[in-house]
Amino acid sequence: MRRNKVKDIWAAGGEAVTGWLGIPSSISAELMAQQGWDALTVDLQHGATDYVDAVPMLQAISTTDTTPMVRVPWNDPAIIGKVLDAGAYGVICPMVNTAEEADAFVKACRYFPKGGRSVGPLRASLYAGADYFQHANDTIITMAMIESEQAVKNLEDILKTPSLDAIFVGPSDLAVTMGEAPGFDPRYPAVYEAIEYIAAKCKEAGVIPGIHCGSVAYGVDMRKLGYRFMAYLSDFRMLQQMVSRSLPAFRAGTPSATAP
Amino acid sequence: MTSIGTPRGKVTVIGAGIIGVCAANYLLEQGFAVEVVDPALPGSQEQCSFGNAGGICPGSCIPNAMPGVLRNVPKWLMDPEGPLIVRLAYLPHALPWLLRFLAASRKPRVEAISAAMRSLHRYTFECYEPLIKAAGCEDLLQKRGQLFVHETADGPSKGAYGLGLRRAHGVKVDILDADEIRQLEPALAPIFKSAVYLPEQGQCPNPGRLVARLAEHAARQGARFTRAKVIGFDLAANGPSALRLEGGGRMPVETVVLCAGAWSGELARMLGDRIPLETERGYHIMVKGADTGLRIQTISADRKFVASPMEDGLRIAGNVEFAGLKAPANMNRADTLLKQARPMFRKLEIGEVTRWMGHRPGTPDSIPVIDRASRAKNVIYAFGHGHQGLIGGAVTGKIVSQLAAGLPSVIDLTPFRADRF
Repeated sequence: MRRNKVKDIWAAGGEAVTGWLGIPSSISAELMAQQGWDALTVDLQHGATDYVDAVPMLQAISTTDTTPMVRVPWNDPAIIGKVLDAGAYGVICPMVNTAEEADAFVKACRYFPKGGRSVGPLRASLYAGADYFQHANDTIITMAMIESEQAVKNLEDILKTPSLDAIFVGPSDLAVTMGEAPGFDPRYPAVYEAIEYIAAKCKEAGVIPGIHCGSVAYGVDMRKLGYRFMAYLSDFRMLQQMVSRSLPAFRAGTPSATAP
Repeated sequence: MTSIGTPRGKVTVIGAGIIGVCAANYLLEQGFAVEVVDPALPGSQEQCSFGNAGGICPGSCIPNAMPGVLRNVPKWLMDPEGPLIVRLAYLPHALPWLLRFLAASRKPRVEAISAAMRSLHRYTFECYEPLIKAAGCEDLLQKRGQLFVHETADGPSKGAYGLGLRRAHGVKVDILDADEIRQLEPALAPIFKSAVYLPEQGQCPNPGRLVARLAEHAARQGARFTRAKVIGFDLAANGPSALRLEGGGRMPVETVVLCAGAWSGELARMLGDRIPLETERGYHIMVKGADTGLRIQTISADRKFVASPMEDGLRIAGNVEFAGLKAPANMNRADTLLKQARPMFRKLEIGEVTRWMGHRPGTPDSIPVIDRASRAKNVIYAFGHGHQGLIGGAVTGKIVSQLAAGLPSVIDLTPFRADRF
């Protein structure tokens, strides 16, 4: 079975960085796959992407050893099974707020006896190899999103879910459920404290903590807290930032590091 | 995208400390498929590589056993706050090793050992730099020199023999008086009357993170890390065909690199080589967030400890304790280090501290074993780096990759033979 780079990096004690794909294009997915990310995550929740867009994007990512991952739109075994059969090597599941929800999510990703995923790895067996069924349970990453005050309250129980590999903090939703404004890189004391608490509890439980970061500086802080899976911005945001910096520079005729 | 081409075979590295992760990276560069097995996560505090003082010193060429060491022996056994201690109950166990240690202190041996140390350490920067650049952690190698401070004015002249060794090997040595110490390192309290400054030495502000980053980089290039403890071998005619793992697993092997630090001696014995290896238990205490202003790694020559400015604060490291691999740590020794170091600084506020003990893999002659096993033809030894594992890590990693590939080694390996004892 083809290897899962993110899992290999975790096994070495390292930190994996994922690019985030919100633009429904196999071309931008292929471009991103050439940039050296450890993983790329096709976002079916807030990205403009649907299942029919996601499949060729996963094929594009497969031109490299970058781990193909998908954030599914919801904790629903129907779409989880479909993206896995399409060759996703990791699933990020939004809004996992209780141990029961975590259990349902993980079981949707695992074949018997660890779960109830139905067997039919259409493209997955092309990507992974003929022995996909034998190794899928040990290769595929299950990552539950912790993005509400309720999920933080239930965290210790959620982290006990068998065969849950990682969690992924959605900082924006987490801030909103704690009465703050949405956005990347929250520094509100209570929210930040929750983000620290999540990392500490994950370390105790042997679950990899992950988070979505909007800046290099926030990434540095998250690294210090022990986060070992980082999403950094997205294709959409990076394109937007680059254009918003470069166009005025071009008009003004003032080159800079980002607009030479 | 990095292409490693068609692997020329598989190498299994036992040990994911600094030697193992450097070897993994250089083996990948040679085109080998690489597996690394260690019960500890790379860079974690269970590893010796985590807790050292961070020196990366091309000019390190002073053995632990120097002429005249014999007269210190009674002190080691009696003074619980001294820099070197043998726990009395462990003495019978350590005695053969200690006798060899004393034998290594004869001048002709010291000079040969010193030359070997210099040959191994000389190219430490050249061997680290490509690795840390590729791993994106160039901030983990700083070249600020190393300072040995004395509380008396005649310190350097008392250590003239050691300074002579350094100079003979082309290491730049500056002798400083009290005023020059103040100018170079204003953070130090004015209690030091003389010093030796070695401007070409380097330091790593977080050795644990260095190991972790190099492991991560190797994994990214395709190395496979497994957390397991190797407890033995399945032996075929020419050497091991598989590693036996704690818990009953087996891992088939082609070529094996043994760099399991202080745990290597027992594994080498199973392969038919009796190598005197003792854990020289070292301690440190970290003062989190301490802002002493110290920039340069500074060694108290009188009290035998190292003060290192680290990413997370100030680290005071030192001690050699002979008590084996199993005895629990005596953290009073870490506290003693801090007590001794306190007067060293003009400003040192102590808040949160962490204490650590780890196992240096010590040979009696201060230099590692880097050699093929005598009987097991598919095994390469790379252990016993003692106090200099971080310094020798990258060079040793490169040598290991050359041995595995059947290429000539960058240095003469005669002094590092396994059968020298």
